Amino acid sequence: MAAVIETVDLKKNFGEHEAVRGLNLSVQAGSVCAFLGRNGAGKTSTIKMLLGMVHPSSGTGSIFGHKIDNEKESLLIRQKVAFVAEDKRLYDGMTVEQIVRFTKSFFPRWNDGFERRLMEQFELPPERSIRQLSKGTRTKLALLLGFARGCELLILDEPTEGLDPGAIEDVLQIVVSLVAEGTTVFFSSHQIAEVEQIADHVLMIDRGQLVLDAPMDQITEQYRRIQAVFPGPVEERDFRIAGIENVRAEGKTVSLIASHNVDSIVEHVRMLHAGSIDVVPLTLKEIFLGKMKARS
Amino acid sequence: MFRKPNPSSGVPIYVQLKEQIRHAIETGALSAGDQLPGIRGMAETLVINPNTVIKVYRELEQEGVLEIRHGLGAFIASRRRNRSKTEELQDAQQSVREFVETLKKQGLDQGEIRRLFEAELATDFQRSFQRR
Amino acid sequence: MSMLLYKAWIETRVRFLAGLAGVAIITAWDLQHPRFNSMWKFLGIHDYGYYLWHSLYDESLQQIWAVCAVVLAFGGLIHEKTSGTVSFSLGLPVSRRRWLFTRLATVLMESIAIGLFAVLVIIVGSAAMQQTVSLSQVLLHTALMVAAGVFMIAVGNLCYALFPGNYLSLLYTIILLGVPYAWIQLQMQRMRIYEAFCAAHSCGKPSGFVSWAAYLTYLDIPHAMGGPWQLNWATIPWISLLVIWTLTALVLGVTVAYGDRSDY
Repeated sequence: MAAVIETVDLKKNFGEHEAVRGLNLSVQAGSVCAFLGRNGAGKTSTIKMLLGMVHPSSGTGSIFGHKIDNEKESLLIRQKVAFVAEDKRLYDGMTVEQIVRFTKSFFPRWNDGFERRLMEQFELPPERSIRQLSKGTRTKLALLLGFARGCELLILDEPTEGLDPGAIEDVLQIVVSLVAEGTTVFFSSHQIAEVEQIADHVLMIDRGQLVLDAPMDQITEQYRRIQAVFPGPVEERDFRIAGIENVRAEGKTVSLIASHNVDSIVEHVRMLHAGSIDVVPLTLKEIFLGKMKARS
Repeated sequence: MFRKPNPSSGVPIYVQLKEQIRHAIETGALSAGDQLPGIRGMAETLVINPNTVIKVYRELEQEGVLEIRHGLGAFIASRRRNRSKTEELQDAQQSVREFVETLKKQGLDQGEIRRLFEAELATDFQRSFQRR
Repeated sequence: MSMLLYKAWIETRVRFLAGLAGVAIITAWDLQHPRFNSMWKFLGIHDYGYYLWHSLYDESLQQIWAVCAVVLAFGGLIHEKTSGTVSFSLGLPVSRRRWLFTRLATVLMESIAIGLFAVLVIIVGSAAMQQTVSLSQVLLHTALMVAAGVFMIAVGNLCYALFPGNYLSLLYTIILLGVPYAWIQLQMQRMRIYEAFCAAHSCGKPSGFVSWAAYLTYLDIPHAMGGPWQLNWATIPWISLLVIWTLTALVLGVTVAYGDRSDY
């Protein structure tokens, strides 16, 4: 399968601060790839580099085979990408209708029918000035301006921020229907629930580096929490085994987060004379929090 | 008919969907020959990744639960495909026995029953001829 | 293309209308109050056309027009960083240069419109005061003012890009532009008065002041914008214009390079 987005050792320094440190990512065509990370982890800097807004300090990247750090090629990239930024603010002086017409003029494959359906579904008042829109309505407008472009790749930075749960579900449904038509989606989010719902690939970034790059199915099938109770107190250093990402020892109880190798780990725990051992699946949120904790 | 899977339950979404489809067949909500929603439709209704739906349909097809007919969609497989000719004939014989018993109870005699079957088969033959 | 011009128009239209009003007021004011002060009587010039040229194209109209042009030039992608729309704009398939040049084109057209509006006020106002005025001279002077004034637009735009953000930086930029502008103009004015005095009273050999000030002429944008009183092909300050256009191109080059290098 073709890689739609690819980066090789992408780096970005803002003065002394290393925002992105040698990122290697690869997003396959037709997939829904989620980009998770804390605030300031480097998500938005990475996305901005992909779109030519920020110049990489070193490293390369390409989208649809076009280089991201070449001006002319970056222009070609943006003709094929529907980007919805984290900052959903739009031109205050225009009305809803005017900005739709404005944006449409840059995308020959603009989908008029889809635009009309979304205007209705999102209840966007065409004549209203953008200045007067509420934050949620503005977000929906920003999403419409991205979705209706008829592009093969969607890059979304926090797409559902500020939306109520009903609207979030609507947006996810729209994204899913676009994926069914062959669109590739690369989105960053803090909403782990929505990531779990629609993503088929997960990238986790922390302090500028990738700490997880795996298909969703692999994560749900392999990651496990192992809880064990021992006859006597135990130390965290007793659990330095391959596959263990996080150890929490409290007196006689130990809680381990394992990314693979679960059987060997359980064996090891048994050999340490554990009284009871529980192997339990993990939610993506627990995996995420576990990783962040392990790194701090 | 299908509930939105719970992404945080620890059970992968595709496993949950497979179970839901199997359950629907077992309870009779879906029978052999029924068509399942298309990939896009299923994904939109449940708001899940279409690739997950594809994976579910493909795996269920390999397990013999579904039939994917090219250009038409996914259908619940008719049970008979999984069984041998002998088993089919045995089932058929049982069905015929039960039906004949029913007709006898209604008061028909053997001759009448035979004539009914022959007439039906004759017209059926004609009908399939016309269909072509 | 036209959509970008339309967007720039939407962003500058309030300032544009304010500029029209400001120019109209100042022009009408000057028309209405002939300032026959002691200096004029001293020089013995009472021609209406000359008066118009001096008070408007050499002073007040030129100044207000320059302020309008600079204020209109404030904006662009750097401003969008503050207003939060830069991610949307740069996410579109439009190059940074195209954003810059369509915006500048809109500003130029608006500046020309403001200049022409002043012409209208002059024509109407002069007719109201039963004074005749040469339409061709007024139009030529407007054209010269704009042609030399493009430098103001370029510099205003660059200054805003380098010191972006809120209205305080706007004030800062006006001061930065205004101080050398005013100083040069003052020098030029002094020189002209000195020359006029000498012409009327037959002075001796020219002083040092006049010789170094003569080189300033080519950099004297306000003087170039004003031009000599009577404009025709011979008297149009071509060399000044060439110098100004070269400087403008340099400023634009710096603006483009700076914009290309920036991270938004």
